[in-house]
Amino acid sequence: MLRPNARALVPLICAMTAGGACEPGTDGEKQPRLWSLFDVSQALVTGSPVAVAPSLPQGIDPHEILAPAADGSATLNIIPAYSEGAPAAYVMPELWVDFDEVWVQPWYVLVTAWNSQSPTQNRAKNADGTNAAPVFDVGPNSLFYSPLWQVYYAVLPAGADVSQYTSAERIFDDKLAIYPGSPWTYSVRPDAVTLGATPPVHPYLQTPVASFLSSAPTAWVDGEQMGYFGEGSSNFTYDAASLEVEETPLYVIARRGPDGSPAPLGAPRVMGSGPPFAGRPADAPGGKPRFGAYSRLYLAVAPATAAAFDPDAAPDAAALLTAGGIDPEAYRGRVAANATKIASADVACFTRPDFPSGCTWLDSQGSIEDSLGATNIVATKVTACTPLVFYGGKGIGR
Amino acid sequence: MRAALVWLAFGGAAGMATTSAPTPAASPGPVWSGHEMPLPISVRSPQDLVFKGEAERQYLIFNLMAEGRLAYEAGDFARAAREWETLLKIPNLPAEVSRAVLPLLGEALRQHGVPSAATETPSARSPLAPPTTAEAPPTLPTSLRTTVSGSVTGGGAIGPGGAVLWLKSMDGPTPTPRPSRRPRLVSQSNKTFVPHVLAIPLGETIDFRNDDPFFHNVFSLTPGQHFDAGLYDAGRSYTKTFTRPGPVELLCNIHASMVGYLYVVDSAYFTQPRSNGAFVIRNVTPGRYELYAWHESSANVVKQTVIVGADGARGLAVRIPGDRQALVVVPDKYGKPRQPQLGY
Amino acid sequence: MRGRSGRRPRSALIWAVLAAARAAATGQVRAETSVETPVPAPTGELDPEDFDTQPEGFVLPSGTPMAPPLTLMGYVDFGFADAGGDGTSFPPGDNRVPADYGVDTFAPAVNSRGDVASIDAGGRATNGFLPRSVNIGGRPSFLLNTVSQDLRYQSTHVPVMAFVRIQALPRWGGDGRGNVADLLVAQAFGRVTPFEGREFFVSGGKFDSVFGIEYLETEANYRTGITPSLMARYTTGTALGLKGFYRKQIARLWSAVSLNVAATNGSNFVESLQPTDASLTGVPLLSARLGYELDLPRAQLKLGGSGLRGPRNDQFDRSALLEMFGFDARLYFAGVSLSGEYVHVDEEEGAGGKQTGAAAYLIASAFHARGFWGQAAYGVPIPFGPLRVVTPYVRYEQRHAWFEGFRPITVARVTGGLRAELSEALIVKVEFLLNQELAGAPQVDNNVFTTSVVYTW
Repeated sequence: MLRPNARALVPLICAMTAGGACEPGTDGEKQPRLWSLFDVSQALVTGSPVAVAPSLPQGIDPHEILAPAADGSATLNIIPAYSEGAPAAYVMPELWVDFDEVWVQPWYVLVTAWNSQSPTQNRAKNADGTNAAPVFDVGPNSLFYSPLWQVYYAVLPAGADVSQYTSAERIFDDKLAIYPGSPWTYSVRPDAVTLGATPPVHPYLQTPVASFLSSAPTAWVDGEQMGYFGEGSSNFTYDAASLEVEETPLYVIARRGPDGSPAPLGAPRVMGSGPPFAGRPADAPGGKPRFGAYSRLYLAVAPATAAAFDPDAAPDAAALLTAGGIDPEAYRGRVAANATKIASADVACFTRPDFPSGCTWLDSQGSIEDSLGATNIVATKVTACTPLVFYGGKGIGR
Repeated sequence: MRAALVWLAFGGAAGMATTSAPTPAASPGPVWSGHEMPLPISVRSPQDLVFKGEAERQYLIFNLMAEGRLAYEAGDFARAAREWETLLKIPNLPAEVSRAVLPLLGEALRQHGVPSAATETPSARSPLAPPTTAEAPPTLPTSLRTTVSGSVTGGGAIGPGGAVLWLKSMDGPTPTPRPSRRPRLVSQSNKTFVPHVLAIPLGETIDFRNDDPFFHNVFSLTPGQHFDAGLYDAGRSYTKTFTRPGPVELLCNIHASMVGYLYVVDSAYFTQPRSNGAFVIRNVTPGRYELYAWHESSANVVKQTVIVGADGARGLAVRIPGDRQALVVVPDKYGKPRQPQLGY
Repeated sequence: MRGRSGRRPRSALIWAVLAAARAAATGQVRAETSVETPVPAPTGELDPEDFDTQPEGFVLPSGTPMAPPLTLMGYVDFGFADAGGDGTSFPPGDNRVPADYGVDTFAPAVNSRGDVASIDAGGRATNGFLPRSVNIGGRPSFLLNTVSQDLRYQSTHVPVMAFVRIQALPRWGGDGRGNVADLLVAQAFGRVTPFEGREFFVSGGKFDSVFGIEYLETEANYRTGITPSLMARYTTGTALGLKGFYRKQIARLWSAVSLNVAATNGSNFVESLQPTDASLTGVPLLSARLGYELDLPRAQLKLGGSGLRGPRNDQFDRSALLEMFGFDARLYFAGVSLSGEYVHVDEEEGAGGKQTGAAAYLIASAFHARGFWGQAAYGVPIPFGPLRVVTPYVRYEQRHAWFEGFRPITVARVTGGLRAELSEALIVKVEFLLNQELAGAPQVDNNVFTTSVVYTW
């Protein structure tokens, strides 16, 4: 006896529902889920992967995001990547599954006076002289929490008690003048998650990452104080009317396994710079990218001849790099599409004397799109907060 | 004869002016020779018959007036009353004759020792009758009362039978009705009020009896006629006396579809028509009246002027306009509207 | 019979005169003559002797329905409203998303449907907690709120009733959220009364809620005031399913107890918060109200407790439950009406997206609400001209509600107004709503002045 599959009927039901127009994608199988650092540190303890989705069945290992310490605390990992043909690195404090869009939320910084040239010049101070904590209203308990913020400067009236301003409601009640600032990326963190004792460096190149990556004291959310990481300003763009944040593709290079399904190579991911196949040049004035803080993971299915470069496994190729004045670590994990030989006509570019120029490197959005084509680039349902802290071979701003 | 007639007229007029002081028994006056028709009238044609009949009729009227007067002045009050009662039985009696004779008849009856309705004191009324603020007008012998009849049309789906009609005198106070000794019955059976419309005299007591096998709760929100019978189950009754004139809309707090009407009439002249609309109001004294008609489908009471002659008024047509909006939202006994599709 | 002189004696004369008169009245011709005296033709009037003194009353023929089997009733609700600020509850300068999670978007209601003056969030994303809007913003406007038509068919020989309520909602300025002119089937159900003498009905179709008491007054011509309460959005929607009602009278105690039970596809949230017609989870929600009435001659007290449980019908996960309970009380005496209700709502987070009567949304957030309202009204009969009854009323209410992960919001409202009934079909109402944000949401200018004229046919 056939049992009607309720989910199969859902599109029909959606069409019949009065007044409703089902948006594409709301097919009943959506399971929107958000992982903040609170959730990731929890997963670290249990050892289960995060961001498991049908399109990314193995999910993300929480150890990739945080490095646990013996005392139960954890350190935010710097994750190596490539972008626009050069080494890069990012942190990944938040992940979403099944979110078609993510919005900016307002972040209020209290000032005593407005200065459009230097907005932070007049930060309101606590009684002990420290900066008054900023205020935001949508915390990590909510599925609408977003680490992508539009900063507003709220001007306190003369003589106001700054300790009273612990919520956005109070700012509106007192009708404070509000001036917009820049978009910023801040991620709330449990107290036990920090940047570690030593300044963070690129895991391969061992050079410092951007100095804006900081572990700030606290901010007010719903009357509660919470620690957060500062992760840079203007590293994303959003639609001013709808407040939707623009995605950047983050490519996970994969290769088809014996059963035909793509399996990630485990190589560093490649950060794109604009909408897929838009051909937009990277917007990174002065080496400071204005993209990347919000990205969607794409599976980039490379051919069977692709492989990641390991300097330890190809010492001759590494020596070629060193002779050319390039640190071999700058190529560690970079995937070349023609790295190995399967058919007789294939070129195994790791062994050729014109290494590295003979390789078709999959280390930028342009090269991935050109080399693999749209049919081999599959969007997953996983998006993430991935602000770049290392770009163009060096720490941003260094 | 003409001289005798003139004499009689003068004598009658003089008699009217001095009704309260009849002369004591004196020697009988001249025997009126009017026992027999003085003029032999031959009848050879139908017109002769009509003439003869009318002449005899006029002769009789004159005869009885005069005979009665002679007896009255002779102190024979019983005979005077008999003569004049006979006079008043004559159909189509001219009004001026009744007006001339009635006071004297009443006096004769009083003198004779028969309590006439005209001199009845209020204390002698039945204790069931409500007190009246004005002295009741003199009531005529029933033989003089006439009928008012006609037919009612309109009334929508209920029909003309649901009307209530009553008369109010334009010449003076209208006689008030007398309530029944026993309560009238309004039954709740089959989730309806039986009867659906009942006209009752002022002061009537109604017995609301539940003839259904489940509860009812009769109430009315009509202004001035509020009452609430409360819950009572099968076989039980609730009685109430209605002492204010006007309509009373009956509803049930449990069954929103039940509606019925009482109309409390403060006139003795009232009736309800038959289902086909035909109606008769009996025992109406001749005079000028306003005829009122109430119906549940009419927004206002319909009114028309009626002249009731000595032989009554017939062929009246009363039209009920169906201009009252049916009760859209039935309230419960606290005035809260009830949505009819809920059923509770 | 002739006398001595051949003249007729008077007694015979009297008899002759009276007989002639009766003959003329009845139209008969005297046997002594062949004269055709003109007699009136028979008019069909009845002989006075046919009537008794006291009328027996008018009895409807058996089977005559009190009302025709098919009854058409309806009303039109026309009004004028002026909402403070921009007609929404969104404070100026607020940029949080979703915009409808930080304020009580239903607060600036302007009509009996609970429609608000505006839901313009300035382009910010919302997540399905917006009411319907009449799109007047902060501009005072005349409004044609509702044109409603009821069609009721009551069979005369079987105890079955069918009822349909169709409502036309003229709206303008469609903002892409479904606030466009609409013609909807608000209710459509059949009701059977299986036992003649019992107050027991079974209904099937799309019908009113059984939860609480506010559904009794959702329509403009029944409600004392104009706007619904702050909790009405959870209790006065219609649902599709099966319903049963039973009431038992206890005359000895002047009381009655009643039970109203329903199994429906959706809950009784209003249409803008959930779709009502289909079940998205495949599992019905069960709701019930147990009521007690004390019917005294001069006062009436009604108490009730309600509950509802089942998977929330704005998403597809069967395990995401909606649970509600509430208490209600009404007291009537001497023209004074006191009523109040407490409602408690708990909604678990649903997996996947959310589907409301307006659109599809990303997340079915967990939600909680607690609230109450209390109203006092006094009907003053004023028979002056067309005026019948004037009812001043006042209502106080509070709502404390929060979405999981968001700040709880507590709002209060003071409502005052006047209702005047003119003739039997015209009601004029004037109302002022003072909305107060007590906690969790910024103070905004969202008070409302509104009027309503309801003509019922």
